[in-house]
Amino acid sequence: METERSTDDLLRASEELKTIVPDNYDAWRAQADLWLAAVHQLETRQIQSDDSVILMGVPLVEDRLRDAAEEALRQCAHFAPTVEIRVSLIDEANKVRRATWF
Amino acid sequence: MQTLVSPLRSGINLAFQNVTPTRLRLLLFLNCSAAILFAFAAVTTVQQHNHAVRTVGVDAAPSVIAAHEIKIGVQMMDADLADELLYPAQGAETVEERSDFEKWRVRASKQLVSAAKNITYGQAEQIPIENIQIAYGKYLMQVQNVRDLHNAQKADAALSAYRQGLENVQTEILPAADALNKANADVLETIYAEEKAATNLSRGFVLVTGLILIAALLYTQIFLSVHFRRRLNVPMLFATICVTLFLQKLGSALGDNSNFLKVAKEDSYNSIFSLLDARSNAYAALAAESRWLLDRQNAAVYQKEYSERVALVAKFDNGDNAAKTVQLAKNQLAANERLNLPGFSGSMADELGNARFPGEAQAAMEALEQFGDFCAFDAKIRDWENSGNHAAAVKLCLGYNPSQSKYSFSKFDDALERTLQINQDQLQYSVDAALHNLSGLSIGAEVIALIAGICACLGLLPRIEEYVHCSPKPRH
Repeated sequence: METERSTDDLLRASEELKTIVPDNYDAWRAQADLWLAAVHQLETRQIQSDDSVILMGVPLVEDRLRDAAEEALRQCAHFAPTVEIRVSLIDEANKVRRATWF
Repeated sequence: MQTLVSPLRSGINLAFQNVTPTRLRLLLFLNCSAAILFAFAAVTTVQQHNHAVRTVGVDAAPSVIAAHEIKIGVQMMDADLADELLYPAQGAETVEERSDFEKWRVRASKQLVSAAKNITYGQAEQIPIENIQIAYGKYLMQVQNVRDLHNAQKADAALSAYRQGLENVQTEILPAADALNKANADVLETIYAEEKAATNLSRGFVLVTGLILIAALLYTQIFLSVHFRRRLNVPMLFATICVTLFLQKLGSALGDNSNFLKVAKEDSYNSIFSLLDARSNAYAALAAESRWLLDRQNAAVYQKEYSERVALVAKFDNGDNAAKTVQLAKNQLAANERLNLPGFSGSMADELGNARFPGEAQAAMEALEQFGDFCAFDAKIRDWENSGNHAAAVKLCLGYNPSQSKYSFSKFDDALERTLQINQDQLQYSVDAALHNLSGLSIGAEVIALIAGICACLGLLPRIEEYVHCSPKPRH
């Protein structure tokens, strides 16, 4: 029941964000936050992976969500108002990205 | 003051406000600095080792050997001339002595050229060589004068001329050869002592700088793995492997080099030095023995010289002699014990105490045994001469039959030559091996440092770029 509510919340947020054109800092940040929240809920097992559930065009699968969040954070960094924020966004992107060999 | 502090503070703030790229740049700097430090330490150490090996094996030792060979050659020329005067002027033995003299003259001349070609320490070598050359030319003229007087049957005048030649040998040529020997031997000993003291320190320094570089590369690898969720950074991994393998090779090469240098100096060169000293003193004793028979007016002087020279070759305390000492040494060798010959001193004792190579101790013992026989013949020669049997004493002194003195001496000389050859071969082998061991290490260290620097750039710059290319857009 809890799981369903969380997934629904994510889907609802996704639907709302679809209407926003990502051409500024806040829009990219909001997209990134949605995928980061989904990753967090998957990590803490509040929800289960389900590739039939699509959040802003990304299936509810951890690796796909991490890729999307990383990309959104890097896009967001382009619009960062200060050096500190830009650096912290790139740090965050690297922190959330899926682990790779190279 | 305010104006100076503010830009500094703002600079520091600016550098640390974007922490991760600053850390990445610091890591790049750290890796490149560690690579440069490692290359510097490795090149310096390799050059230091190379210098020590070249000093011992290429510059000094051949000159020390040449100086001894010049001494030996001149002493043998003097002995042959004295022997020649003991024979009648036109006899077959005189021709043989002259031929022998000629052999030693050629040998000494070649060694003189060899020493001149190998001048490394400037005036300290050049002046003795010039002095030898000047006195040597004069000596050859004196020898011709002696022969002319001997051929003219003017025995007293020939003896007087011989004494002049001998004085030239003893006051000019031999001291100059000793000075040449000392100039090289002193440098060799000094450089070797310095190298021995510095070897562990310099090797340790290289290993520490190498380990610092490896630690910097590994830390960077871990930092990238943790902060960027990339398990392996291929350039950093490649650099770490290259540096580790090279450091291992460098450490073992420097260790081997120290061992080769030790064998060359302590095992080979020290033995060669003792053997050449033994040979030089034995030849001087041989010449003094002939002179004792030839120049009866100065017999006491020559007898004293003979005794002193023999004692420098082999001296026995407590009533021991060569035969007993050799037997003791053989027993110790058979029991696989380290040679310990109490009461035995001199160059041959030094050599036996430093015999390290297969066959060396056996050859040295054979030399000692024959030298003992030669000394025994000397006692008989003096007995016969003192009892008025001059012709028999001369025959015993100069004859090459097994029951005569020169037979034992030539056997002694053969055995000594074999012992010398064993050590010279080992010296050459050790020096060649040490130089071969060091070849390419300096360039290798520079290449490895370059690889480490390039790999650090290849590994870190893409990560730094991530932060650079996301420049913030101005807000309107």
